[in-house]
Amino acid sequence: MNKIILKIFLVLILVSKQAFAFDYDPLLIRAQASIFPKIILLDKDLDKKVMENKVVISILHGNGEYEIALNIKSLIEGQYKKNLGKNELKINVLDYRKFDDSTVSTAYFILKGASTYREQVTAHAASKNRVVFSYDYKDFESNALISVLVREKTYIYLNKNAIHDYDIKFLPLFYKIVKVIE
Amino acid sequence: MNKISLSLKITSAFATVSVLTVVSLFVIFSNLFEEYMLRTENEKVILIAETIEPMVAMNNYLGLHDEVISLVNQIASRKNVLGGVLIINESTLWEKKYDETKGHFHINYPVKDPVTQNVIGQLIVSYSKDSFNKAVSEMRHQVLNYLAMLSGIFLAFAFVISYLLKPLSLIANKVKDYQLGDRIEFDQIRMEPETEAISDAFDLMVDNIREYTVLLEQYKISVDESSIVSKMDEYGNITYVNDEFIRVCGYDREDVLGSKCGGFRDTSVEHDMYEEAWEALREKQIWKGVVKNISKAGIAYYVKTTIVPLLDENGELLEFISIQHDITEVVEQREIIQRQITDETTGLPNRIKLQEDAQGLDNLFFAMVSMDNYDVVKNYYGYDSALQTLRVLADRLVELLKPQGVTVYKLASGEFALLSSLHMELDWFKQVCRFVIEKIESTQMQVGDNGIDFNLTIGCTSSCDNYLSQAGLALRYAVEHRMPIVYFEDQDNLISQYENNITWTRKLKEALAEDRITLFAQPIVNGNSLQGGKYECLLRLIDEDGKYVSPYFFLDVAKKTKLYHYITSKVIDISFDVFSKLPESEFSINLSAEDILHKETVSYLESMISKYDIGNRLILEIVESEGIDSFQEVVDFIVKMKGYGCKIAIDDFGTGYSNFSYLMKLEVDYIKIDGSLIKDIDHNKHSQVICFTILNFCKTLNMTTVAEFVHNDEVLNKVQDMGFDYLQGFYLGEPRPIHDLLELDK
Repeated sequence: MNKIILKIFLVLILVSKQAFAFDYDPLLIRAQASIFPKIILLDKDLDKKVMENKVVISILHGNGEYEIALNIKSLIEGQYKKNLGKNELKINVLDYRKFDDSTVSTAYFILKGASTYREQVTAHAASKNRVVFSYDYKDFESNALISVLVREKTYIYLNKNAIHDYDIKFLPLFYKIVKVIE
Repeated sequence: MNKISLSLKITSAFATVSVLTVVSLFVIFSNLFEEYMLRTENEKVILIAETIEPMVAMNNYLGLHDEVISLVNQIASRKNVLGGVLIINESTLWEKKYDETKGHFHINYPVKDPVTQNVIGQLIVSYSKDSFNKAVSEMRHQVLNYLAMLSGIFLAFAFVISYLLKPLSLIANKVKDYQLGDRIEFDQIRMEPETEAISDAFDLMVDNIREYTVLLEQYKISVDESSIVSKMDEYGNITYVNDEFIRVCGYDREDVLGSKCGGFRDTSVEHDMYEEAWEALREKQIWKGVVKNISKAGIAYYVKTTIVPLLDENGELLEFISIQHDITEVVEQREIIQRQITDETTGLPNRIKLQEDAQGLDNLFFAMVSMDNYDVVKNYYGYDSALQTLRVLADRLVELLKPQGVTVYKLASGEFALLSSLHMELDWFKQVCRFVIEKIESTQMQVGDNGIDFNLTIGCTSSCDNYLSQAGLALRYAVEHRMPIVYFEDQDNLISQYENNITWTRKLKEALAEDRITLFAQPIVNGNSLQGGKYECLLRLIDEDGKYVSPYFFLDVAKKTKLYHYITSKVIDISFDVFSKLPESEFSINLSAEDILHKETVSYLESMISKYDIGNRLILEIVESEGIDSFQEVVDFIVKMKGYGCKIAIDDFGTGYSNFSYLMKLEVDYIKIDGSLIKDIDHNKHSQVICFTILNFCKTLNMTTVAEFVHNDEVLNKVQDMGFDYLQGFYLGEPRPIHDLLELDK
């Protein structure tokens, strides 16, 4: 009986997870893990945003995205070996619920989470002129700044509406290769 | 061979210059164009690479390799981009192959990391040269078109030039046929302003030629009339002679024509001159000179000759023309003048030439050189040898002095003169004179078979005004004082001496003329008894004021002039006249060597002795202080005078040679000891010893001794003690006018 109850519980858990979880594309995650740190280096004012010689990236996740966040952290660290340019690279994985205005990073990588949380992060980042990467370019609605999409080729999206808010100056060439969307 | 026409030359020259200019410009601009085009194409490719490189780099940086490939493929798709390679981090990301045989070039463009700006790779783009080649081809095509058009223009230009210059060739044909005296007609020729000017110029030229021809004919007549004209072919054969030539040489024209130039010259002289003349003429040079010719009659004549080689337009020798002027008279006069200014013996310039050369000089050094022993040479070796000696000395002087810039002249007898107008210091000339004496006297010169030692005396000056007299005075002074060289400027008293001589010469002449020469007589007394009976006659001159003047002041001057012998004659006249009236007295007169050697004086003395028959009372005092150079003449004189009964005394003994052997040979009767030995004999031991020796000697030879200058009692006592035979001096009797003796006798 107990076994039956346990099996039913597990099935329910799995079903609920399938019902609420966002589907993350491993290829896209890999591409973003590769590209986003490099975009950080294209920031002309990066030196002002480095914290104790460290480039700090905070990956923010919602419920059930912790593993994804860790995976992203792992991919970035695997590629950059804890160094980004001349600075050390530090990656924090943080639950949206633990985020507040004291959480200061060089850049933010937001996963889906809840839109309320996302907007809190983007507002905070914009006020500090910190770049916010989003996994999903649709999150530009939450005022994320940059995202990457892989289709027949790789596209880098730049949120035109957020550019003014963030007031971040990238190398001019960057603007030539990105797709600006509204 | 036909010459190229002027029109063709002008057109050709213009075409050549134009084509060369166009081709040069084409080459230059073609090169510049190609270079410019190539650079433009290159810059175009660089611009392409430059445009995409940042995006390539950025995409590569972000790992967007598909975007990178897309970008470079866009380039590769462009027209004229043949291919390329993209190498990043040493791995080839993209490559497009192409046909490398096609004309192309490529550029390497570095790919830089957008963050670090480090070069991370290269973008190589190969670009086709098709556009470049097409542009160059089009440019060349345009130039060729332009050259073709230019050729057409040149052809037209040549035709126009030919048309314009046609009258020139017609004028040339007319002028070519011109004969002297013709007129040239240009009426049928189309005239432009320029050709008209040329035809006018030719007309003027023809008029000028005619005028000059007439003039030339007149010149020819003038030259023929005034000069001796002949022409020779290039081998020197005479081809033409004018009448004057025939008149002067005396030959017939037929004899002269065809004969060699120079065939009439005096073959005995100046052969070298003819060789030099022909050498110059063969070198096409004008030759000028004076030629001595011999006429048919055998008479020499001189012609001043100018021979001009006549050349053709190519400078080749055609013939010679000789223009001569008879200057025989001038040459003969010149020879006469030359003889007048040349010393015949030595060939040196003489005194006339010296004065001519020195005239007007504002700076000179002058010397008179006397050959001391010239008279000896002349007397001993004979006149011919003396002349030969002068020639040898002259040659030697010239040899020594010509290199020094000093000219040698021959003066009278054994005298030469040296003249230099060099602007040098006086010391230089003194050095030259010393050099001459040293060189001449150090070497014995050969005259005939005899080696002769020359001794020279030189008197010099640097005065331009009285150089002859000043050097003469200096020379005379040098001879008198036995000095080798005397510089007038160094002898301050030469002028005063000279003036003194002139003054006394004048006074002597006046005194002789006015009979103001007289005698004083001084008694000579016996040494023991102090009794007189002998007198020495002493010469005195009565000056204009009536004062008596001692011969000390004028005797030397008199000896240098001919007046001296008149004075001696006067002494003889007066003394003989007075003592002829004093038959009891003996008297002495002084004779110098000049008197004894002067034949007229001796003859006069003899005649007067005979006239007055006074020889046995006459004592002739020969002055020993002058020395006895001509010893034999003196001996002969003494012998002769003793034949008249005269006695001989040697005056002033002890001051001259004091040669006792002389005394023995001369057989004199009296020895008069010089006053300088007597005046202090009372206390001077040396004088006493000398006088004692003389006394002993004279006593041995039976000569009578006379002590002069007995001026006080002490001296008198001493000379009496020493045993002098006779005494003379102021203490015993002063000299007084001789005519006083006659008064006393009365």
